[in-house]
Amino acid sequence: MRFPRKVDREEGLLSLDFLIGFTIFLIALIFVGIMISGLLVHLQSRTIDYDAVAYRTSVVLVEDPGEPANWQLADLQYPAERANVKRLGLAIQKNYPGILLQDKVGKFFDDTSSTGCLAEGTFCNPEDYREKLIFGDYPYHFNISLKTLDSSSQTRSVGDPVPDQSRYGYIKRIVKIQKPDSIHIYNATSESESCLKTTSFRFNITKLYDDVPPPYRIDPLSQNVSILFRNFSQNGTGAWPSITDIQICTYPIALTGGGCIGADAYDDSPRMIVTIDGNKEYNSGDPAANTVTDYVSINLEKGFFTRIGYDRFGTIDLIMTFDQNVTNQDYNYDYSSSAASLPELQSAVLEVWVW
Amino acid sequence: MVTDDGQLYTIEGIAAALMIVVTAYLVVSTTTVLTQQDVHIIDLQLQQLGNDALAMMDTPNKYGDESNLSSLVKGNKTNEFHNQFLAYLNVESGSGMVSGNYEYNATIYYRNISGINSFSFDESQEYYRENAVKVSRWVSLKEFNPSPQYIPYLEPGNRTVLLEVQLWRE
Repeated sequence: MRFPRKVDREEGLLSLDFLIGFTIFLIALIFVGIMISGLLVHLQSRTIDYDAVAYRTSVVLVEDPGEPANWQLADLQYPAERANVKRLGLAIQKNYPGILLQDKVGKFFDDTSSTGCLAEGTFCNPEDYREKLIFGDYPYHFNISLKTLDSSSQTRSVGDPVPDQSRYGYIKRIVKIQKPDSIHIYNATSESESCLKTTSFRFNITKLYDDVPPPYRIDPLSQNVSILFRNFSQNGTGAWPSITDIQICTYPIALTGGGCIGADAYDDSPRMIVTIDGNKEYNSGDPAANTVTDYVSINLEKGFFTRIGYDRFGTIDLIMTFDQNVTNQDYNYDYSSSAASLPELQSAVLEVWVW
Repeated sequence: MVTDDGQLYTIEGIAAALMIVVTAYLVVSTTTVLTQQDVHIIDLQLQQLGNDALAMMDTPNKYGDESNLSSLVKGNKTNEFHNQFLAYLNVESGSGMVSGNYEYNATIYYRNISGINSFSFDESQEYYRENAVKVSRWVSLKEFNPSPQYIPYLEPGNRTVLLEVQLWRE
């Protein structure tokens, strides 16, 4: 009870009890604060999360060649080969970010099932893309679209249609796509000018790789090889040349354990396809049917060399033997033999939406 | 007469004040996580886009050709730079709605006998205080032979300059 005019000598003082109590309270508050901030670290806003996932996805697509780096050669009909594809990067090499390989782009956008995992030989949509590209436990929806800057080109897309209203993560990347080299053309010579029944096309992989940087490189190990051997003529008796044998050999045998295999060593893809005069396939068992009156077209499907164990350190010869003289030289599959164009780059835009 | 009415005892008062200040500082510093959040992500997108555009302009389509960017900078072709750069920034696949409307100004930094100098190469709009990012790329100029007004006092020959582009959304 307060009395007027009576002086209370304890009034306005801060007691030691209060200080101790207040200190304990503040220390407790600090601990709580520290613990709450630790809890908050794990919380993210939805926008940041989706944008970050979209950015990460674009980095994998544009700056990473994938795992394995030549995953575009995988035959998706075989579960083991499909499972072996760990990451779907589209870059030609990790040292060349932004330069995409056309074969990877094609496989990524075209070899996809419309939905689910029912179709054989394609990526499961969206399961494989989530597992090998977007990652994370959350089942993100996505749309990945690519369009070359050529105005006539169509947009290639994989994933769901982009929603109009809901919030999504987004990123746009400018890229270039490597178009592989075109067909390589070689001319036969008339019998009077010829001295060789055997024609040899040499693939010096090391030289192809060393001369030119990867974005502009002819790469028989991972791209289709197309050879057109033309301008055949009749001999003095009026007979057209006939193919008697086709072999692919690698050198040096001592280092690579190489040797030769025939043109018809494989029936399934990737294999060698030899077409005579544009209408009949080479048949090693029927020499009479292998007469050439115009040209021979040889296609080595991408991954063929890798399938038979040849690598970038090898020198490979494609040897065709005829029953009469057809040429006077050996040929090189190199940068001077491409008929129309060497590998070129084409600008494109890649957009990623994640929600 | 002096009494202790209405006063804190000195030591207790100082100790209490210190504790309150330190505590307040600790509480604020441990519980407040300062992030720029959305602004930061948008900056990242814009910076990535600008870097991509410059990198692709600096990548020739054919082996042995001079890159577009090198050719444009060497020849002071600001109109073509404007068109190509904005074309790269604004291109879309058409699968979804995205925002564009980019503006930029580009500056060339170079070194000559007097030191490091700069030259305003091109700008689409004057920069005030918009939220902008900067992207840059070293541009190789082979057999550079400029007019006296262009990149002043940069000696002719094979030169490398830094092209810095300030980029923002209108």
